[in-house]
Amino acid sequence: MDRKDKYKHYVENVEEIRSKRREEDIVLRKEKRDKLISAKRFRFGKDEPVDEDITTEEVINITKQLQKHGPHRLTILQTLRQAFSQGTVFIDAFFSVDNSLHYLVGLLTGTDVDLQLEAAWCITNISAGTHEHALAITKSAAPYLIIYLSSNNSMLQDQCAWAIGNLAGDGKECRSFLHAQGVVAPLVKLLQSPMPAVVQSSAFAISNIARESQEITRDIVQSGVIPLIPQYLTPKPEGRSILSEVAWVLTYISASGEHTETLVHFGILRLVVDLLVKLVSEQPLDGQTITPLMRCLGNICSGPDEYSLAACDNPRILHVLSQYLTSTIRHIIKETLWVLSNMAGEPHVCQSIASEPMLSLITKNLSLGFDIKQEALYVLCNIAWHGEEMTRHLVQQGVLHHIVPILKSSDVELLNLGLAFCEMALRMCPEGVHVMEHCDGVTQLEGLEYHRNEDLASKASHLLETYFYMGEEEVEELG
Amino acid sequence: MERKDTSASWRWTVQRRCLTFDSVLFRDGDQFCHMGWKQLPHEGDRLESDASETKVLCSIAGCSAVFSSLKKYEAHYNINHQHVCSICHKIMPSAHLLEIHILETHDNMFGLLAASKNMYQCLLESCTEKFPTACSRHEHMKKVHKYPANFRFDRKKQDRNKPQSTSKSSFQTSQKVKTESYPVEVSSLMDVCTVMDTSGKIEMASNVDLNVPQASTCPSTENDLDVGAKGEGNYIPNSKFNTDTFKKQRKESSMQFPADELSTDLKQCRTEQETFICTNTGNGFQKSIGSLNSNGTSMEDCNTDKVSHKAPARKFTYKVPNNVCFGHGSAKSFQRSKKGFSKKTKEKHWHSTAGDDSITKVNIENVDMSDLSSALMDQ
Repeated sequence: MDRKDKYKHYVENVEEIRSKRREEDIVLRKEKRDKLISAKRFRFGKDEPVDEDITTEEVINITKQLQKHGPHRLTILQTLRQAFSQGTVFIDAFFSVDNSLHYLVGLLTGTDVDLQLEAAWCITNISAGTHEHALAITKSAAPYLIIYLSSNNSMLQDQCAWAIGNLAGDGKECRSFLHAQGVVAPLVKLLQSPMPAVVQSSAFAISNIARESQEITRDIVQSGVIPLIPQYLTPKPEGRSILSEVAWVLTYISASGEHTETLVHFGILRLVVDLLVKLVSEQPLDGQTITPLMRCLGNICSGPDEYSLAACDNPRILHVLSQYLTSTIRHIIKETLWVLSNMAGEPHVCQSIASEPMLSLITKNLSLGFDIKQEALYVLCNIAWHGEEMTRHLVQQGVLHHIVPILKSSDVELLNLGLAFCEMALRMCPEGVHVMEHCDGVTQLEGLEYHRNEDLASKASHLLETYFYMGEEEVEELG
Repeated sequence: MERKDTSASWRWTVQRRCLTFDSVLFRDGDQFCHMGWKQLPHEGDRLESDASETKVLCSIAGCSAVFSSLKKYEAHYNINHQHVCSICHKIMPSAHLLEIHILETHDNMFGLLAASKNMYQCLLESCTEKFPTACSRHEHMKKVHKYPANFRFDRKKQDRNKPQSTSKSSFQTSQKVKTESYPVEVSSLMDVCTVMDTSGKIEMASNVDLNVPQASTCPSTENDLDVGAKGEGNYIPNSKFNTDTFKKQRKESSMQFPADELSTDLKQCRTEQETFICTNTGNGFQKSIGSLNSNGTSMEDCNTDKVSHKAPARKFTYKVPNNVCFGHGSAKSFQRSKKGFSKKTKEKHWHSTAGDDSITKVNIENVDMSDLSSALMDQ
């Protein structure tokens, strides 16, 4: 009985096998996706010959030798950190040796600065490994890393910040440990360092640690991070990597909505807008930097209308956004549409968006992939919401023609959006009915009447009854 | 017939969406950006040393380090000489910790003040809590700030020779870490010192560490021997103890045997502590069960480790004392000369001495085999 379930599918029926297989697939897919989105970074040596052939036995061997006193320790550490960056199996081998981590922490807190730096590098690469590795490091080494953030050795600061960034990128547990260990204040202070490498590593660490937790983000803001940011929001090429790191920090700060006022107060909004304006003319587009800036703008504009208006203080922004709508990078189109949908809540901005050439660009996107379609629909619905004038304008511009085909799609979200727009068009614009009849909208609606989703079905039938079957009813009444 | 306007319930209202990092909308962008991020070698980072061949000598008295560049010297200075206690020469990593150290260790008033109000402050600058005892502060660091129990910068000087306790929390939490069965590595960890406990410091009781070389089911590497290049453990030559006293004390007393890997840079610290330790010979030991087997560890030790933590008087140690011989590898075990320590005794153990001490009645070299060979040839 016990051995039987070690092989073959010891389950009752086919259904269970299928569900098991499905679960496995889901787990695999998730892992794959997680790997791509992993927020950790190994640190590779620059221009160093990489020993590709190192084996786990070798790793175990040299780890043992490490614990003996002597000048060879430096080279051993260098070999180890190269091995770690090649795979977590080597990290496992390292851990399998007694006291290896303890000794490494000892070197980190020791008095030989070269060994200290190399030990910190090893720790950085170990913390980029699996969750267990990161947790082990967090528990035993992280407080020292945090203390050394305030040391005066900039290389050490850089390395410790990077290691902390990897730990924070591991997950919630490590993040809360780090938070308890007091990582926020010294990390924020490092943003003022004169060394660009240090600033970049600390921004990386801050953004990783701010990601998931609003509480930590609050702490970070309280430590005064926002006033330190404007100096890095510059389009200079040499500061570009710092800029993207800092921009990511901004996305997480702006995501909660609590800090929007502070952000605007320190001029962040204006700087972000200016940056987006400047970056659009670069060829090729710097997607790494534009993406976080766009997200920051979108989140700020999801707040009160005044911010959307303030964003348009830079007269070029709308034009620039329309340029982004034609970019070759797909997700930039999508996120630009999202930003526009948020900005369209404000009446004046809305008018500008609804005018040419922006409008036709938006409408064009209705024929692209479903996620872009969705965002375009959000924009249009938000525009139409403003009232009769806007709706009529949209219908006159032929928007309905492009929306009706969407009613054929199978995605519920899209259908809801499409129906919402049609409802507004029919209600507020007298020509709406004619246009819909003309482009075969009635047939689509009728098709939706019997949709599986009851909500959709009822909406569709409501529209039909309200706007298209009146004639028949009158006839019935008369007759 | 009236046109029922039920659309009001589902009419569109403006939607401004604030999206967090995990929003579906951001997934594509995340992939794009992370693809570029995942393997990011740092550019232009390593502040390369100056091309010049300038040799820089450390100018601090007693430190003989030499560096090939100014930057390296700066780094060395920052770590080793900047936050050093002028009284006991202990090296601290930051000004804040140094301040705390001086206040708590060298300030006579501190003890008096501490009796009446909470004086032990939290080790983090950002946390302003204070505590009545070092022990309670230690608990705070462990529980609230998740510090490891054997945090290196929270030890009193006289207790530097005592390994600090494995707290329950770190012990248990470390068990959650994936544990592997470690082969018991005995060779490098056999340094043993007998340590004096200053009997007055009861409050440090719970700070006494259990140095657990890894047994097969003992969890991971966190609660470990203080194998630190920092030299926080101290090697005390065992000349003051003979085997007998030692064996007796093994059963009754607590021996804390930190391992030590002393770096060469700490000459001044070491000599001071050495004298310090030696003068304290004979202070009371706390009780413990020193259940050492020759491997230095066992399952029972791990279990009793947990038990012992509740009764602070019982301490365990798993290090093997200096003058126990294993036979195998014994040459090494008895000749651990650490640099900088004057060897109190130059005598080698009988195992490792060369032949002229041998007390065999017959010197095999001088035996005359002619009788034997003639006997054989007769056959």
